[in-house]
Formats: sequence, structure tokens, C-alpha cells
Amino acid sequence: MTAPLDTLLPIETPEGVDVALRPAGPVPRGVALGIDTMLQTALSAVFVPLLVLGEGGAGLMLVGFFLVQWFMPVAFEVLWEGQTPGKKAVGLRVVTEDGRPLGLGASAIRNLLRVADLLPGGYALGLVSMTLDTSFRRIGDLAAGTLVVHTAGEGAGGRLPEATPTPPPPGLRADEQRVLVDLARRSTHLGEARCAELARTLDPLVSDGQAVDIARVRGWARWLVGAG
Amino acid sequence: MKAQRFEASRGPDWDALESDLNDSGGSAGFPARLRRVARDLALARHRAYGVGLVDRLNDLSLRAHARLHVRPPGRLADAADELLLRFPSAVRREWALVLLAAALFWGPMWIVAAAVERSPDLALSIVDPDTLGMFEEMYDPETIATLHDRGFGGDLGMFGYYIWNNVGIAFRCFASGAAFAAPAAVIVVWNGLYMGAIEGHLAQAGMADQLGTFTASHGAFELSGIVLAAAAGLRLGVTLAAPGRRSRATALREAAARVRPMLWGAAVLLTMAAGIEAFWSSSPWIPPAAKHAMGAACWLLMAVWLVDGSRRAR
Repeated sequence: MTAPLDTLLPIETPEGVDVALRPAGPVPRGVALGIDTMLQTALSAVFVPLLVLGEGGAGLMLVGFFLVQWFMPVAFEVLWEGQTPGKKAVGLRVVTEDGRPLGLGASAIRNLLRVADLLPGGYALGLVSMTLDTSFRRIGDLAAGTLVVHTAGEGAGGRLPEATPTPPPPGLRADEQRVLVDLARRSTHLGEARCAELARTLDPLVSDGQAVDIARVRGWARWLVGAG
Repeated sequence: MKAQRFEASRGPDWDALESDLNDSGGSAGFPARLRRVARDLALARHRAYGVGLVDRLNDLSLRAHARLHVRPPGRLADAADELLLRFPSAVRREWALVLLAAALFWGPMWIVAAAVERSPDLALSIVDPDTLGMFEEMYDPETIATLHDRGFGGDLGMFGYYIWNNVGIAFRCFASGAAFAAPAAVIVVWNGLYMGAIEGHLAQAGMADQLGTFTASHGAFELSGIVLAAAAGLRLGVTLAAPGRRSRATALREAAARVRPMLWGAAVLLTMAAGIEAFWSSSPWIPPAAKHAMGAACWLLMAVWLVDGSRRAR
């Protein structure tokens, strides 16, 4: 595989081929964390009615709080192939650095060490670690040897805009193809002038003398990705 | 070969792998199919067949790879090994940090306890007056005499509280150690200061015996649990600050794997301590001598556990 232009992380499998993991950045992970935190609060609330049983019930409630607070994410990650409900909703998965499902030990470490990532407040240390690391690992991930990746098919950055598939210039390398497709995807969020500006940088790719515009790029991208 | 022809000839195999993945059982031909799809991925990439096709094969290979190389579920024997062999040898390997954590905990505790006995007002600069009053009431001989009114429900209530609070402190202590060690040290020192102030205050109020009798039984497991969790956390922080000739990520991962048994050991110790503290230490009808004997037995048990375990692990 040629050196990736993006954050794709190639891992070599025993089958003798590189497959690429797509590490996920702070924003989708933050959303997943928000969902999980709400779920944790809701699950903790389930134990509150135990209070009617008196002091013993209060004790059981606190044990319930303890388990939900420290082990709910661990239980989901171990039993649900690396996905908590929040991660599943956002399309994320925790895997080991070689792309396999993670075990109890790794999951416990990464979730306990969230406490360190939260320090000194507002996830500061975790964000610094994610910013410094090429695959967005927070301290808990570094210690556990895990990664949070986008699940299959998602995470490539949204849907392609509609266009008639047209054959792209011949002889494009894999990374060049990917740039074209990414540009077509992003073009829905970009202004018209910026789209035109970016498309013009692709002029050297074509030999027919016509300037490249974003409509052409979208057509090529459709062709490259295939109907679907 | 054109992409369409490649897709037409190989597509059925990809669909079969996909249905294997969706069907949790999988089929006998699964590993061979994964190998063929992985080869297709390499071919598709080499021939630059278009990112759509390459992405699909990549995702398919990745999912199949994860499914094929799934970790077998842990067995009970592994858990026993972790606690009986790897936990003691991890404590032995990290003896220097265990000593440091113990000193950070018991040092301030003893110093403050002695200082408070001399000048009682000092306790107020560490513990607020209401809490001190609460502890005074708790160890008042009259309160202790009425404790049997608490019953099983009350015991269970305290058990839950000890789990939630004490094991939580141990986990926080361990985890915050990863942030360059200092936060774990602060937590340990603070807990030492706090307990020392209460100890000194109660001693100067003439309740040292009640306190000693109450804490004798569970002290061994509870205090060592906190100290061991802190030592494990300090290891993470020290490694992150000074990784030696390795990358920080590698060094941290190795250190975490090494001290993980200590974390489990500390959690087990604190859970046992919570049980003893809630159901035994507070029982008014168990004579003080039995509680002290229990405490001695716990220290002995832990010494045998750690010393013998680390010897057998070698």
C-alpha cells in the first residue's frame, strides 16, 4: 500500500495482505461518549427504587452504581465486539492494534484510565494525547494497546453527491483515486468558489485541455466507487 | 482484467464471506475464503480497480480477520493464575514503588496522628468539625453497644458503601497515576493525612481502643489494597514520564500489562475488606480479642499469598 494521505492505518494480517483500519477522531468519539454517559445515568437510576428496601437496599444500590460506573462500558466492549451503545450508534468500534476484538483486560484498562484522560478537567490530557498520536489514541488506549476505529463502510465521510458516472482519466493511482472521491464527498459541504478552486488543481490530470470542474470530479467519483 | 469482470467472477465468493460474517456460526470454508478475499484485495489494490471495490474488500477482510482471530473467552483458571501467581510476582517486581506508595500513605498518617494528639486543633485544618463529630459519635462506646440494632440490612448497606467508595478510590488512584504519577501520590497522601487526623483526634479523646478494635480486622486488606493500587498507578506515571529507550506508547502498554494483576489484586483485597468491615468488624458481640486475632490472621494470609505466590511464579 502506498503511504496513506489520510489517517488510514495499515495492519498486516496473517493472510499476507494489508488491511486498513480507520481510526476515529475526538468528535465522533465525544458523541459516543455523550450517549454512553446518558445511558449510564439512566441505568444507575434503575437502582434507585432499591432505596425502599431500607439500608440494605441502599447498599445494593451503591453496588449497582459502582458496577455501572466502572464496568458498563467494559461489559459492552467485551461482549459486543468492541461496541458500547454509543459507539454502535455513531459507528465506532474498539479493536486491538492488530484489528482484533479486545479482551477483558484491555477493555478494563482503557476504561479505568479514562480517569487520567479526564485530568485536569474537560478531557484535557486525553485530547492532548489524541492530538499527538497519529491514530487518535488517548492515554487509556495507549496503555491498553487499543484503537477506536470507524466500523465498516462508514466513516469515509458521508455520501457521494448524485452525478452521472463518467470514466476518470486513465492510470490514476489508488491514493489519487481516493483524493478524487474524498473531494467529491466534501464538495457538498464546501462553497462553490472553493470547489472550483480545488477542482482546478486537478487540471494536470486531464489531457483534453478542458478545465476540471466539480461536476466532472463528482462524475469520476461515482465511476470509481461504482454504482450503489 | 476489467473491474466488472473481476467483480463478476469473484463476487459470489465475497457474498458468501459476507453471509458467513452475518451468520454468527460461520462455515467450514471460512478461513480459506478469507484467504481468497484477502488475495482479491491485494489484486484490486494493485490493479487500482477503484476505491469502492477496494473499500468493500478491505472492510470484508477486516471483519473476517477479526472474526477468525477472535480471542478465546477467559477461563476461570486464568483468573486464578492472575490472582495467585501474577499478582504476587507483580508486587515483587514493583517492590520499590510499593514501598514508596506505602511510605506516602503511612508516613503522613503517623506524623499527623502524632501531631494531632499533641495539639488537637490541628485536626480541624484537615477534617471539618462536623465529620470529626460524626467519627467521635461512631466510636463512642455507647454507640458501639447499640450497633447490634443495625442488623443485616444495615450491614449490607455499609458493604455497598465500602465497595462504591473504597474500590472507587483504588480505581481512581490507579488510573490517575497514569497522568504522570503526581495525582495518584496526592490521593494517597491525602487519604493518609485524613485518616491520621481522625486517628489522632480519637486517640486524644480516649477512644483509641474502640478505633483499634474496629479497624484491626479489615485494615490489612483495605490499606494494602489502596497502597497496591497506588503503586500500580505510580508505575504507569513513572513509565510515561521516563519511558527509557522505547516509545512512550510501547513503554506504557508494557507497564500496564505488567501491573494489571496488581489492580485486580487490589480490587479483590478491597472487596474482601468491605465484607469484613461491614459484617464482622462492626459486630458488637464479637469480642475485641477475636477481632485482633482476625486482623493478625489477615496480615499473615496476605504475607503468605504474596511471598509464596511470587516464589511459585518463578
